[in-house]
Amino acid sequence: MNPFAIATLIGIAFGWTLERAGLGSAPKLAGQFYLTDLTVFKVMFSAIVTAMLGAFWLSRLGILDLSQVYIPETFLLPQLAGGLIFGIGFVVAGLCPGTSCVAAATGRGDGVMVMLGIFAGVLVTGLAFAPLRDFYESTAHGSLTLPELLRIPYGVVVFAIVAMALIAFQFAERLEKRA
Amino acid sequence: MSTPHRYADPYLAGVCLGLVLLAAFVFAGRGLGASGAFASSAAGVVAAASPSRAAANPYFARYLGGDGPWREWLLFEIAGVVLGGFLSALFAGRLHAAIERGPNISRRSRLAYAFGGGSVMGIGAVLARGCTSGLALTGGALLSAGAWLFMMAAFAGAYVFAPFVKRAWR
Amino acid sequence: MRRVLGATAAILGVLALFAGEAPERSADGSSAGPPPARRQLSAPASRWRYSRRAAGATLEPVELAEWIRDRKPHLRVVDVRSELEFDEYHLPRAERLTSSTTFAPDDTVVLVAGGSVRARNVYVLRGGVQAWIDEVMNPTIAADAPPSVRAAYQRASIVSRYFGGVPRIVDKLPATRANANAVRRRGC
Repeated sequence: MNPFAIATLIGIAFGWTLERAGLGSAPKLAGQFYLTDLTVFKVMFSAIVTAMLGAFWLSRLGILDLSQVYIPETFLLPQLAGGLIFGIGFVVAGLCPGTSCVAAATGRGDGVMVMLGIFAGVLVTGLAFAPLRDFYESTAHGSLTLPELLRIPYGVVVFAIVAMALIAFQFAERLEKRA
Repeated sequence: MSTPHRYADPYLAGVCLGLVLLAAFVFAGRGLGASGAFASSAAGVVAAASPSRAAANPYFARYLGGDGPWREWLLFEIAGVVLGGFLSALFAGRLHAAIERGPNISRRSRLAYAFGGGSVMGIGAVLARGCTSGLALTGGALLSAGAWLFMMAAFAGAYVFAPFVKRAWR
Repeated sequence: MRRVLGATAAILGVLALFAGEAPERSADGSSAGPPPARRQLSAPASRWRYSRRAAGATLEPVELAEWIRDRKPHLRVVDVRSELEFDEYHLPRAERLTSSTTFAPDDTVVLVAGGSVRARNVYVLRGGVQAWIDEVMNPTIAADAPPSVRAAYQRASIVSRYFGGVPRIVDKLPATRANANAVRRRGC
């Protein structure tokens, strides 16, 4: 099938699921950072655990060739700095790039504004890119994965993340009851 | 107007989201993303205004190869996200024009925060080469070290800054 | 329902501890078999293995020493200094970079220079030789390409002709798949 058709279908499922979870609503997302509504954490880590287990097992059974799947590359300093900056913007805006599109699609004016803001931020940063270039290209480690970094087998890392997530979910439930 | 449906269970929604992500791995050889769509559009806009400037810009030039910045996988994916979000809200009775905000902030301020926060996210996404969808979800599932670092930094940044924007949400 | 999801995750997670490695795949996609031959220049777009760290990372001297001592398989220690400097002193098992130096896909290559090389001065060509061939020697766009693509093509054509390349405008570009190289160029 045409790759763009696949992209659109996957996008539809993505947008549908986000909206069903309530992640098209900025106050709900922001609640994560005041520890009153931990939906963001629950959805994100359930998704990560599911896809991680799926990728591991499909690869192990020879169904999925992981070398054919693009793994986001590691750039330590830019991703550390970019992450901190992104997090600050996130709590101010209440929506991330993906959820802002869902919010806008459901009629939320604030979602539209977040989208415009992201576009402006990317545009200005791109235009002013020259002085950032050295920093942007620094500390590159290619497609470095946690198993390689920690020198622990892939399956052990998978187990550890599943265990940590399940424990964290218990804490999340307790935290929310107290809020 | 009928009462809107309740939101789905977050764990179930998360598992479904994970399956969508897994489907992307299997059928498209890549994961999800969002900020890349904004970057490609920005490249397209700059190129429309000044093709030579865009070609000379080291950040935008990479979007000008192949079939150009508008035939970008992520743009088609985001179009799907918009459609999927719309349909879900439609069937759940959650489709209405509104400016969602905390109880103690005006609509105007909320919109300003939205734009400002969005711009800051744009800067972060350029530096990190991704956002929560592309890095945290996709890279997280594939155990990319940089993605996990980004995810932890993003949560840290948000939690540390949250008290400063309390009036927006509480 | 949450219990079912949690239990399934827990079981799959525990089993992962005992699951071992995924089957190795060679360049043509089949599993196991003899080691892949040296890449031909006309080979399809580069594939990389999940467990491999891409070039460009810095390596600590002590770690390299351990690799050499432990006879890490397919290790290539390549000294990029002059012949004079190499003859004066070189690392054990090091080889000098000459015009007849070739690498196999399985090789782990460590470049050794005179002093500290700041990362800023060392670049790794994105996409390697294949990308050079595709984008410098044979830049190709479709007749109906938008102005932005044309401008990039203009820039490529100038330098392409300098090196004896063949810029081309065709009726229709071959269909492109969303693959690792395209994503690597544009991000997510």
